[in-house]
Amino acid sequence: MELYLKIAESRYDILQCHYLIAEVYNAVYDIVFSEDPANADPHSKIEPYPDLFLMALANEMLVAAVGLYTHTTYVERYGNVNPKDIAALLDSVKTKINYSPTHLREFSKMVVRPNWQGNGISLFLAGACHSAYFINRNAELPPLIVCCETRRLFQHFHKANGIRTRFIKSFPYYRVHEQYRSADNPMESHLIIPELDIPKKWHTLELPGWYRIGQDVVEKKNGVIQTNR
Amino acid sequence: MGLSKQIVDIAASRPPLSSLDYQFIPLDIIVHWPRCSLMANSLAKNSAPFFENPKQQEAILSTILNELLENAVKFSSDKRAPASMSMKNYGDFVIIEISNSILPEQMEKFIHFLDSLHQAELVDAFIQIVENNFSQNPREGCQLGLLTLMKDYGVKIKIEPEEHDFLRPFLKTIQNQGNRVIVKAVYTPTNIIK
Repeated sequence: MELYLKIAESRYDILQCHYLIAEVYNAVYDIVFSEDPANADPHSKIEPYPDLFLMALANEMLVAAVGLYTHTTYVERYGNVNPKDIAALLDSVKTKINYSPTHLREFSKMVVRPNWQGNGISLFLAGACHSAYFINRNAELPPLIVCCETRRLFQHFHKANGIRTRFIKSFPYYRVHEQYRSADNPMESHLIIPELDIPKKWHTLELPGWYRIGQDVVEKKNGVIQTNR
Repeated sequence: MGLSKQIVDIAASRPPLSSLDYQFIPLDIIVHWPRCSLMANSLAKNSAPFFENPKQQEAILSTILNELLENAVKFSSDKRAPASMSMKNYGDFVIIEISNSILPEQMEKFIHFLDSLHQAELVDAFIQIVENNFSQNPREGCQLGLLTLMKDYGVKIKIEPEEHDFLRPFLKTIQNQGNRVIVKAVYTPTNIIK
């Protein structure tokens, strides 16, 4: 399967992502969305949209998307994560880049169109979204990445793609997560320090670009072969 | 809790004084949930001047319309299939009709729920739902909303399969699941007709 990955640019691109995300999240989790972040309410199951989107297209049709909050991230808004939490994790490592604990971006709302699921798209996209072309988009300085998801998803997507994540804290209970979190699969906030935690094959992945996805292999169409295992 | 025979007879014997209709795609509301209240407020604002105490009636109508609209979106089995909402003003009462797709088993549930209210005092039923609600299935929350409309505003609600559906030939080609249902709600602002 060949996919064209690109960052949503036009209003049409962005709205396509909104519609796909809203349709999938509503069908699976009974969640609705608001274009105005001020209306978001995790108790009422009303979610805000991310600020940037990575699109996966097949035959010019959007088949999958993943979002990126570029400011006021979900873990800061609802997860009680503050700069001190991030600074404490940064203090324990050495990096060439001088990351700021207040400059965070966050992956969110990855969806695959229902009839395209089961083809390895989500695993590939979960790696591809760590491309510096996406996470650094319009950023003055390289940001830190945070994620909020279930423990199982961290294993399924990040670990499987060789991406290290660092536990920040457990995520408080909200009704909006009731259909996918459980006692044995809790929601957690994690930190990714791009310089240390993202494998080069993902961090340097070029966008936009054509990629061929097999069960075990991700191959850029121009011939540079990369594996996702 | 069905519609009274008197109202049915009046609605059958004369055209409404005014009528406002909205066509919408449920997915459009899921994408931006505040559209629900925007649509409800718009319809209510348009209709309120016809009634005594228009400010109060606008607020009540908006509440009723918003609840019915939210339910229609939540329970539409095909979120891309067109749905419609209309409000017909007969002077003494208004009839709000909402048409959308629905799964047959969900329609059975609604009908059973409304039938069960014939046997119960609304306040008792309300307390029972509050006590039982939010425990297992969050979708049951809609019962509370409909019951609130009945209890607090005297709204009469009926649900039935849509028989005269001019969209049906078109919908057959795009609707992949569910039947069409029409929810009729009657609100009597001045309680002239009981």
